[in-house]
Amino acid sequence: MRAALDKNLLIRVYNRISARYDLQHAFITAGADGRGRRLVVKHAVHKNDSVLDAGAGSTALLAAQEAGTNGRVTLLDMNEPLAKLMSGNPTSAHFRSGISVHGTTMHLIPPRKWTQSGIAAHPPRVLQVALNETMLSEAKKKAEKASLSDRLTFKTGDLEHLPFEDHTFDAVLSTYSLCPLFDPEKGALELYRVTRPGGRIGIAHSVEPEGRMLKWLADKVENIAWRIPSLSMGCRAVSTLPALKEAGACVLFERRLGIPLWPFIVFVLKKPC
Amino acid sequence: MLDKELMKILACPKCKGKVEYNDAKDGLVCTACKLEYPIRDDIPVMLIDEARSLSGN
Repeated sequence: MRAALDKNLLIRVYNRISARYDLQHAFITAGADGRGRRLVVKHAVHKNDSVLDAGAGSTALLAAQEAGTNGRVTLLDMNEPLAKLMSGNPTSAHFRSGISVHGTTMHLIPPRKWTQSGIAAHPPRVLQVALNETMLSEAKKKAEKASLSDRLTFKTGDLEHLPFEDHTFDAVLSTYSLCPLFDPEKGALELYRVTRPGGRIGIAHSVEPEGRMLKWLADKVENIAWRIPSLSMGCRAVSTLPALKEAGACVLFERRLGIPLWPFIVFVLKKPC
Repeated sequence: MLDKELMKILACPKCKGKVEYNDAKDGLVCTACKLEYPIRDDIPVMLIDEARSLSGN
């Protein structure tokens, strides 16, 4: 596995590319990113679940719709488009306190200020949302209109220290947020830790291509891409499934997506097996 | 004051133990780690790097 990008460099990159992240990520993944998110949510989230979305974007909205009006979604590392979507929502009073998990360069802004001054450049990083029916339907409408997808404002290394108790959430999701981590396995095991026994973990991330030739070629392409951090976005092929299996998880669903040169793995696990 | 539901699930990012309000209610304290996480604009900053040490060193 390639070493992660320097944390501060990664922060600068994500701040710079946030406006075009959707397009870039969709292009790189040949549109597989959205499919991966839908699969993760479909197989990991049940009605009335308490959900954590680590690296929250439109996955959080999909999860909210799936969990229903009695569900509860905690957004971790919320991205700017989602913050915009939520801040424009007339029911934004339902937002709860936000907390900072990463926050290295982020200036935290409490939800009440969003509606006063519009969304600032740096949204809160973690937010817990109680969703009611109006909010769900509004969010859905807006999401459809805005064609939102993930724009991670991820800070490497931070998922390794989640500020949640063990066994907290029914479903924990991470779509493409483990790839830039300094230690993706450790991040994945943190997600596992905060999942309730009997709960589900849904993950999507880059993996190595299959076959020696493709691996070789992918490595060469990645070498070039990594000379331009704003192109690679710190994303690299990682492996987390073996560590999670070793921790006691069993696979409920697994699929490979994406182009042969840049494949993704999408899997949903149950804790414990 | 922070949302009660959020307080229920919050933990010290270092030891994963319980955190509690300090006397001034402007920080969350982990007694095991002797760290205090500041609350800024009603948002607890749960970063180990930004926590204040209470050990007196």
